[in-house]
Amino acid sequence: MQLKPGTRIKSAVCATELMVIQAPAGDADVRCGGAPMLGIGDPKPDRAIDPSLKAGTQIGKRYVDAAGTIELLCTKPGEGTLALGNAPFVLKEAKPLPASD
Amino acid sequence: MGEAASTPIRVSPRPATPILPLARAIERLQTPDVFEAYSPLTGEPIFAVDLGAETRWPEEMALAVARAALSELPCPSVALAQGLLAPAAEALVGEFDAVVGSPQELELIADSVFAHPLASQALVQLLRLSSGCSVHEGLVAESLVYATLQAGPEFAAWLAAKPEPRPRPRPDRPAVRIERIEGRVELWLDRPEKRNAFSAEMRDALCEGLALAVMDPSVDRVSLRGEGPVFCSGGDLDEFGTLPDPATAHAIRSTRHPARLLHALEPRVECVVHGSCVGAGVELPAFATRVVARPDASFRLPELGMGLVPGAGGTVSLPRRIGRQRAAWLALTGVPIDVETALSWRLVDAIAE
Repeated sequence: MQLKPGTRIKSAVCATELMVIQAPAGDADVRCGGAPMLGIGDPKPDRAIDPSLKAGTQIGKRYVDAAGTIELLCTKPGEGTLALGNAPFVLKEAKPLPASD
Repeated sequence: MGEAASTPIRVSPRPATPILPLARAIERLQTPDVFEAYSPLTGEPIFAVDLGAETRWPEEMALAVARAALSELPCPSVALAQGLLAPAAEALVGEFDAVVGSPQELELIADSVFAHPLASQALVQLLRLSSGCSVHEGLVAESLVYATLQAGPEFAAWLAAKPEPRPRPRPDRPAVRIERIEGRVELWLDRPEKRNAFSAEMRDALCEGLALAVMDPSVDRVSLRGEGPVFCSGGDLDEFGTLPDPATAHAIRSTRHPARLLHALEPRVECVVHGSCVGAGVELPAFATRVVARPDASFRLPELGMGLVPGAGGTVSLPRRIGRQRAAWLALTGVPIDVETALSWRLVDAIAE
C-alpha cells in the first residue's frame, strides 16, 4: 500500500492502529500479525492472526523498518508483530536524556 | 508569673522586616541608590510597604517613577494591604511582586527571602519578565533562570544537606500508563510507590504520551491523572544534583519538556488531581484547559526552599491562571493552599469526588 506521512492505517487481524511518520514514495508491504495493513476506514476481513507473529504493539511507541526509511507511530495497541514483508519492525526508543535537575 | 515566658520568642535570627509607609516608600523609590539599598548583596533583600498607611495623592511624576522603580527593583516588593486602600495605594498595588493581607503573612515571605535571597530575586524578576511574554518565551526564560540558580550557592547548600538517595529497584512498567478509549487518551502517572515523583523517566514517558496526542488528530481529549495516594509530589529528589551541568540542563529542558506539549494540546487537555500536588504536580496541570481537583487536593511550590524557582513551566502556567502576584505568593511562601482556595483563585476549575 501507499504510505504518506500522516496516513492512518490499521491491522487486519488485531486492534493495532498506526500513523505514518515517514515513508518513501511507492508501495510498501507493511504487515501486522502476518496480514497486510488496511486503510483506517476499510472493513476488517474475517481473518485470524498468525500465532507466530504476536510480538504486540505498544501505544505511543515508534517503529522503524530495518533500513530506517519507514517510521510508524502506534496510536492504538494490538497483538500483532509489525513487519515489512517478513522483516519485523523494531521499536525506536527516544534518544536518552539525563535528568535536568 | 514569668514575664519572659509569655514574651514571644523570635526563632529566626534575622532582623524584623522594616515596613515602609506608602508615602515614604514612594519617596524612597525616587532615589537613585534604591537598587543598592534593596538588593540581596548590598542592602535589604525585601522591599515591604504598608499600603494601609494614610497617603495623600502623590504627584503624577513621582507615581510614574515609583512604578518604574518597582518593576526594576532587584528584590521582591511586597505590599501589605489590609482593608480598603487609599487611591494612591490602588494606583500602585498592581506593581508589587506580591500582596499580603497581614503582617504574619509578610513574615512568612520574609523568612523565605532572608533564607534564599538570590532565588527570591530571580523568581520575581522572572515573573515580571514573563508577564509580557508568549508561553514559549516564558519557558525559555524560566529554564535560563533555573540554570543560573542551579549554579548558585543556595542550591549547593540545599544539596549538601540532602540525605543520600536510597537505592530502589526500577519497576518493570512505564512511568506513565497510556490508555486509549476511542478518541480519548488517558495518561496515568504510575509511580504510586514514589508518590509519582517527577523523574527523568516520567518526563520521557509523559512526553511520549503527549506527543502521541499532538501527532494524532483523532485524539480529541487527553486526560492526565495520577495513580495512588497523590497526583504528583514534585521533582524526584533522588535526581536533584545529578544534572550534567547547568548549561546542558537548560539544553535538556529546551529539547524535551512536557510543558511545551501540554501547551500545544491545551484545548484538548483535562487534568484530574488529588492529594498533595507539589512543584511539577501544580505547574503541569495549570497548563490544562480544565483542572478538576478531588476535595483532598492541596497545592504547594517548594522550589525556593531549595534555592531554585519552579522549573516545570509553573512561572508561565500559574500566572496565566492565578495572576503574577498569587503565583509569587505561592512560590515565596512555600505554603500549601487547600482546594477551596485553589478554586477561588482559579488554579482549579472544579472540585469533584
